[in-house]
Amino acid sequence: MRGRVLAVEGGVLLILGAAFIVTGRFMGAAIVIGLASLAAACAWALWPAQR
Amino acid sequence: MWGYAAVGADIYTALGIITLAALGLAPLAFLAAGIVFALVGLCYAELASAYPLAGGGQYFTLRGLGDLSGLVAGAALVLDYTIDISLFTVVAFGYFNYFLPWITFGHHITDFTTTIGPIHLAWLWLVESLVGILVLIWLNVRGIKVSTNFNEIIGTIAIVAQTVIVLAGFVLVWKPELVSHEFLFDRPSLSQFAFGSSLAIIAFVGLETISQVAQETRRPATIIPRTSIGLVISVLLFAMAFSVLAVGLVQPTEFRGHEGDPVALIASKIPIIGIVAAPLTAAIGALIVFISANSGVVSSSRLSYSMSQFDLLPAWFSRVSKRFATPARAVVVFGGVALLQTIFAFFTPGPPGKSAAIDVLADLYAFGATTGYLLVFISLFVLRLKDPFTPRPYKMPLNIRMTYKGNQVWFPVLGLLGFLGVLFFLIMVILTHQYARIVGPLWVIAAVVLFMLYRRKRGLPMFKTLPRDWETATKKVLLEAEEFKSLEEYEAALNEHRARMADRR
Repeated sequence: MRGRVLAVEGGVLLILGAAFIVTGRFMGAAIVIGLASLAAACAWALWPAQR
Repeated sequence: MWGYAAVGADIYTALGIITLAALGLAPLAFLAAGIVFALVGLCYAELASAYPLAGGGQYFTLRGLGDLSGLVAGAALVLDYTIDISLFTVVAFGYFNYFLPWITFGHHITDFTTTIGPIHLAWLWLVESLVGILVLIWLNVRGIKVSTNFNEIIGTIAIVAQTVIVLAGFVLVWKPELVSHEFLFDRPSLSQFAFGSSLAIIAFVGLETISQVAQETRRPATIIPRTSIGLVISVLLFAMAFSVLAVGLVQPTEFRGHEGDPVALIASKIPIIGIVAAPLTAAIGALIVFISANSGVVSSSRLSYSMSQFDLLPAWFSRVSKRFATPARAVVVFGGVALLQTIFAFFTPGPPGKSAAIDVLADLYAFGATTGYLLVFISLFVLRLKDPFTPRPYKMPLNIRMTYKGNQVWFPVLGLLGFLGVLFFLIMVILTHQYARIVGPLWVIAAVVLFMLYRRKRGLPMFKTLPRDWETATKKVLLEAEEFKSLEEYEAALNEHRARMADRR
C-alpha cells in the first residue's frame, strides 16, 4: 500500500516537473523532479516489504 | 512494529520550528541534516542487522568502545528520549488545540494564558501536556500497548494524508518563484542557519527508535536494512517536500504562533481541499505525534533496561513490576524527567505574547542525539576492525579494503563522512543551543557520577570495561533471531581465524 502511494506521488510530481519545464520554470522543475526521484526511491525501498 | 507512525511524526513537530529559524533556507537546513542522517540511517542499518539487540546506539558503542563510552552514548540518547516525550506531547496538544475554538465557542489557546512577570504562561497547554505525559506513564506502567496493526494503520493513513497534502499543495498552489524569492531575499544569518539545521535533527531522530526493536524482529538480517533504508528515504522525502512546499506557499514568519500545528497551517492554505484537509491533518498530527511521544517512553525504558543489564546503570532500573510485568521504575523515572522538562519549558520567559515552551524544548534537543550518533560512528570503525567475524548482512556502501592484525577488513568511507557530518552538527549544537550546551553535558556528567557510585558499591572497576563473552552472546542472538545462515558464517569465520592464529604460533 505505502509503496504504491509513494509511486503515485512520484508519478504525479514527475508530470508536474514536466509541466514546469514546458512553461519554462526550470527551478521549480528541478525541485519537483528531485522530489519525484526521492519518492520513486522510497517506493522501490518499501515495495518488496509489502509482499 | 517498524512503523512509520513513530518516525514520520517528526516532520509534524519540526516544520514550524525549523522554518522560523532557517527562514527562506529552511529546505537547505532540512537537506543538510537529511544527508547526514541518511548516513546515520545506513550506519544503524548495518549495526542493527549485525547486532540485533535492544539497546541501539548504546549497545553498539558498548561493543565497540567499552563500558564508559557505552554509558555516555546511552545517557545522551536517554536524555533525548525524555525531551522527545516532552516536546512531542506538547506538539501533539498543539495539534489538538487546533480544535479548541470548536469546543470553547471561538476561544484560541492564546486566550488561555497568563503573564507572570517576564513569563508568558500558556497554562491550559501546560496542563494538557502534563496530563498527556501522565497518561503515557500510566499506559506504559500498566503495559497497555498500541497494537502493531493499529500502528500500521495510523502509519499508512499518515503517509496517504501527507501525500495528498504534498500533491495538492504542489499542483494547486505552490509557487517556485516564491521559493527563489525566499532563497534570495529572506536568508537567515549564518548562526540562525546553523541553529535551524541543527534543529532539523528533530525531523530524523526517530531512526534511533527503530533500532530499539531490532531484538524483537524476526529475520533481522533481511528486514532491518531494507526497512530502515525505506524509512530514511520516506522521512527525507516528506521533510524536503513539506519544507519546499512551505517556503513556496507562505512567508516563513507565518509559522509564528503555529509552532504547535505547522502542517495544519500548510493544509489550510491549499484551495478546495484545505477546509477539510486542515482539521483532518490536525487530527492525524495529534494522534501520530502522541504515538511518537509514547515511543520515547518505550525507548527510554528499553535503553535503561539494556544499560542496567550490562552493569552501566543500577539493576534498580531493570527491575520489572511484579503486578504488571513492565519496567515500571524506568518508565516513572524518565516520564518524571519529561514532566520536569515540560514545566521548565513552559515557565521559561519568552518573547512578549508568546509561550517559549516549544522553542526551549527544541533547543534542548539534539545534544543527546548528536553525541550518541558520534560515538556510534566511532564504534562502527572500531567494530569493522576488531570484529570482522560477525556477519554483516548489510554494509554501508563505499568501503576501502585493508589488512588489520592479519584480518581483511573494510574501512567505511561513507561512515567517515557521516562521522564528520555529525561532528559538525554537534559543534553547531554547542555553539547555538543555549540550553542544550549546559543541560546536555550536565546530564552526561550526572550519569557518569551515578555509574561510578554504582560500580564502587558493587566492587566493580570504575573505568575498565568488564570482560564479556561476546562470542556466545552473538551466537545466541543469531540463533534466537533465526538467522541460521549468519550463524554458520560466524562460526566458520571464527574457526578460520583460530586456525590462522594457531598456524602462526
